Amino acid sequence: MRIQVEFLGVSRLETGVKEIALDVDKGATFRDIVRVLGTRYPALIGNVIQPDGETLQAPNILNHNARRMVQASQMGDGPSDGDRIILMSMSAGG
Amino acid sequence: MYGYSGKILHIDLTTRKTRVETKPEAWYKTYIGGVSMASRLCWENIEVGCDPLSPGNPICIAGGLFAGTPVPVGGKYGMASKSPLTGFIGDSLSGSWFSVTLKRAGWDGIVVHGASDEWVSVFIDDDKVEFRNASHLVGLGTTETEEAIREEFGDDQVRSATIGPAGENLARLANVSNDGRKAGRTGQGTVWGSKKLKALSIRGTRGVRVADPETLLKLSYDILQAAQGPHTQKYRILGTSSNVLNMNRLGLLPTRNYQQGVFEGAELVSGEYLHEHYKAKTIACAQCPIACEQVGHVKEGPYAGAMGHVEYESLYALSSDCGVNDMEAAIQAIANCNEFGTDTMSTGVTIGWAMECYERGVFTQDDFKCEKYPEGFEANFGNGEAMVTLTEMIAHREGYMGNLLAEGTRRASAQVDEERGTETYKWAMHIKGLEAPGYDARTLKTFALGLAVGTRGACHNRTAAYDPDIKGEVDRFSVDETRGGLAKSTEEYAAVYDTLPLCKFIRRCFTGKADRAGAWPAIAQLINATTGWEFDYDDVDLIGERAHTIKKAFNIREGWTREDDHLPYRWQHEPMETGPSAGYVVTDEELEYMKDIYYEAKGWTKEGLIPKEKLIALGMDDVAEEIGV
Amino acid sequence: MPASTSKYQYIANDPQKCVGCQICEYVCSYTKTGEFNTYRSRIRTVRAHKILITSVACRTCEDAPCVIACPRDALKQDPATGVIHVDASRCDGCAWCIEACDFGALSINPETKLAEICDLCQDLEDGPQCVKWCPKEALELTTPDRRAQRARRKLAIEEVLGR
Repeated sequence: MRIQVEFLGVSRLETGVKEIALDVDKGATFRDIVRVLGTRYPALIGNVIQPDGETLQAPNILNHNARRMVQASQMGDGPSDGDRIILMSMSAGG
Repeated sequence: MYGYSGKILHIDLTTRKTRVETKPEAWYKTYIGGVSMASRLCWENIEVGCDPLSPGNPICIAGGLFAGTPVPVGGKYGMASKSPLTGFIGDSLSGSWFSVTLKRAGWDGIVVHGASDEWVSVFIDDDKVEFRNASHLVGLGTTETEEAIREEFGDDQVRSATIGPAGENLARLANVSNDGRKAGRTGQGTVWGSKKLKALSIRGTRGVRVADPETLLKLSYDILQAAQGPHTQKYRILGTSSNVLNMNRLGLLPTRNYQQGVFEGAELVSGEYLHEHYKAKTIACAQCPIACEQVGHVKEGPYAGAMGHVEYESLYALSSDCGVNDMEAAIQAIANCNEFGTDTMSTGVTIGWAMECYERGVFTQDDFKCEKYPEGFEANFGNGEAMVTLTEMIAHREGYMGNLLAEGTRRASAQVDEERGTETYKWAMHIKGLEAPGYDARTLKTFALGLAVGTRGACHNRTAAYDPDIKGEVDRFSVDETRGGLAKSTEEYAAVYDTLPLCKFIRRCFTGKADRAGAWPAIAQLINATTGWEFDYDDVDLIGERAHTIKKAFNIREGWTREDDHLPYRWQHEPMETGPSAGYVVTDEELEYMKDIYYEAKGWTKEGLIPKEKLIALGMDDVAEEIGV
Repeated sequence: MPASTSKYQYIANDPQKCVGCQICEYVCSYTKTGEFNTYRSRIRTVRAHKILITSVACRTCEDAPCVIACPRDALKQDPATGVIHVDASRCDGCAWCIEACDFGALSINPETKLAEICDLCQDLEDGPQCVKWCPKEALELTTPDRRAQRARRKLAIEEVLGR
């Protein structure tokens, strides 16, 4: 299935990319997607993705279709075809 | 006592006399510093019921426990006064060198009473106090004043807090500036202006001694190292402005006076865009190893030369909220507010209200007459030059519009509705008179509660209840029985940082987790190494509850009732029509329910008043006597 | 204008990295006096304009002007390291050394009335504390030759590789 992945903030800076279309297996979880991104963009490892390659470094978080912020406990869920995911750094304030 | 001198300096501008007050250690253990101590000093020294612009309203400054030590981000201080915008407690925080010199001069707090007949600046030279004629400083901007004073003394270590023309002209949005930072909200600068206090300068030459310097150094070093890593990367690299695109994607970015939550021009006024095109450098406050201040610099065009540090809360107010997609106009507007001494948030939101009035035909071009534009100008959303010009007009109370908007959104709206028979209150975005922050609360329901009950008005920083909403820890679109407890928890958490004070940006750097369990033990260690006390987790937690309670008590004594905990009309009656957050309002039912469960969680009565036993349990016996029920 | 000799080490600040936090000053003053007091620091930050920030400590000049200027021969420069040492029995706080130093690297302690200057924390095992503590790695213990080498390398990389 194909999903849109948008990079905001530090992840945009690290990858140099604003948005990509990502083809993943049907049934791919959010965790899988993070792994794919870390592999494709190794610059994300460290600041955005933890060294294990699949856990997001706080305060980075995935947003799903502008409605749901994917909690750590929900990383085993997954998107559907055509969904939109945003990798954002969510620290309110300032 | 370590960490404190044990002395509060009282300065009377009417009589030009000073006196020193000493407080028992128990008082320090209860109020610590920052907003709590400042609010407590205000409680003690104000003429109850007075007009905020009268001599009976004191300026109360409280230092930072960690100021002048290597504790990272501890270089902050608090200021409190009765707010000319809200009529309730106005507590503000600022940072950097002023807090350090205050500590090194040997003062835990300063209370300024009365009012001067002529413009005065006060100079505190360790323990000597001097009243200086400030008439030659009148009209100068905030940093201009600081520089002029530094020149006069020829000493870099003389640090000044100043007001600009806005405070001088009693614009109610006026702030107090020091070292490029601001005690920004609630109109602190207006109070200074009403006392004809142009500047407060301090030179502190003493060293700071703490109970256990070796431990404090070790703790500080570890935090400092952690502050270079991923826990602060967002602040260091892009600064808080990276919130523009975040909020835009969630449909929460205040756009055109909170009409919408998605701004089509967001990319052009984003932190990413600033970083790429306009960032000159990142700088830090004194004592800070993070360095989050992103300084924007405009090199060409009509606003060439404009330089200002660009924070999210300044940016939304002076870009998307005014429908302006021009980063250069935003930087110029921010620079204007900084130099003239107005709160960027209140200024931007008030301008947004005026723009909506213009678009609806309440105002005409004529209403905007000023020296630069003698025929007036069009003030539609998106007009960057109008926005920039209005920041100048407001600070100088220039023309009909400058004078009107200088009153703040609530008063301006009430005045216009009376004069013109309009209903501009329907789009006046304030709570208790303090203008709304950079997040639309229609779909941040916990946040809506936190804002409504906030002691200083619509302040995101004091409630911090947007955190669980935005992070998705609760469903932001709906209300449930947990929200009361949540709002209590977040506001008291924030209050701990605001009282020590410590900048909240360090919160993840103790253990990697920013929650109480992750932060309080480390903070207890810092407190104990500084003071020699034996604070534990619970003692740290109480700091926040006490801070919030003294502010609440102050409000009650000044006439607060449950009706004052309200939301702007727009958030209750007008859902957004498009975007991810469309279709929602906070209903009366929801709001009143949330207030009920919040008061209950706080241990207050149904009317939101505080039982005597509660106050006594918090160590505030005298407060219990006065307003406890 | 005095010149630094290539064999003497000194503490240099990179203004591109320095954010003006003053933590170097806290740590130096504590190391030397046991108190946190930026007036007593041997390294001093300076902010000339909002964004022009750096810090300065002794530059271990060759034929150090402060040594030459001292009317009481209270300042001695170690020929091996270039570090300036103050002889407390001779120094009377006249501050001629301060006049002579183009970098503002000396100060007079108002209590002891002695001149004070950076000594590279030679007595400490982990060396200069300011360098250790700087959160932005803006400080380094270095020599002029090494600074020049780096500048040349950076230039080459920028010019040739366009980075």
